[in-house]
Amino acid sequence: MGGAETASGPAALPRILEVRTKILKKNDELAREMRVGFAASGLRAVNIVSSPGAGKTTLLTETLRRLREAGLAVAAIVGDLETDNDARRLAASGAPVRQIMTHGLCHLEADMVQAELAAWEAEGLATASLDMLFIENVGNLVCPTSWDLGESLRVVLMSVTEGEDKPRKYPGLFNTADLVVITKIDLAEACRFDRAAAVEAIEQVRPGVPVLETSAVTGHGLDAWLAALR
Amino acid sequence: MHELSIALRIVEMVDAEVKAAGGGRVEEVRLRIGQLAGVHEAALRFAFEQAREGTVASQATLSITDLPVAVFCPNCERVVELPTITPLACPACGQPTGDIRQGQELDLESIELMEVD
Repeated sequence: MGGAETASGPAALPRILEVRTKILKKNDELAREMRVGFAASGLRAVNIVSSPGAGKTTLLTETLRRLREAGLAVAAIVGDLETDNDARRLAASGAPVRQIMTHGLCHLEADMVQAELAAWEAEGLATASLDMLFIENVGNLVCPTSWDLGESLRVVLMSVTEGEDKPRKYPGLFNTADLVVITKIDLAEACRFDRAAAVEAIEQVRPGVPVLETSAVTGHGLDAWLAALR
Repeated sequence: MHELSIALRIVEMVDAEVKAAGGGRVEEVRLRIGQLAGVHEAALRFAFEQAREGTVASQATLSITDLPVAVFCPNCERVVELPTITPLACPACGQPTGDIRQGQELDLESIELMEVD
């Protein structure tokens, strides 16, 4: 093998194929296509990412309920490794909801969202007539980072119970946030949450990103949150 | 473990490239991965060993170039490499900056291919 001479002459030299392509090119291209389609039909897609238990489902349920009350056509797709518990919780808002069970996969990919949209269409829901689509990603602060889902807004949640330095522990994901929401703010005092330290940590990994505080339980900050979504 | 998804994509791309180039045995697959890409190198190497089974890359080694984060500092008006991933601020003057010029790469750079008869 290698550089050994053979009876028929010198062994072949290796060839270098220059590829210089993003490994997630297929996902990126599909996501771009989806984003163009969403924009054309006036649909705003929001990708919500956080660690497990940061309050994605609670905030989203209240968000869907309030947006529906305001007369908007909203829907949600939620990803989890197992169970459709979150879809059932979200459905309490009255909005159409679909659950993706990833069976171990730690993040959603663009083609999974596309498949759910197609399934909705097949069931008679005109997705093009929606005003907003929320995609609740799998609870994970690492893996969803590099997968564009065609969203026009990526929201990263962190709850006051998680510690102020979460952004510095997971800079890659926080760095992709268009908006950071600090959730469960009603528990801030009980957790001795240091607001200034949290904002500083966010600023260190995503300088200039808007930061909101919410409590889906008390309603604190929800008006500003809903305004940021529009 | 999103590294398995990434490894499967790599093998898929390598297979397509090698077929387009007329076949051969893949000796090495070269990647460029930024420190902000959220990829764990050991996990990716482990996943690649599983993903390459039964493909043109079944004996290929993985070569990974690790790219540090570099940002443009509007104060110093130059691109500066960061000694650590965070803070995203100029190490010279302290100015926070989100203008990332390097560190988010997740690229298949090249493939080293050996002709087979």
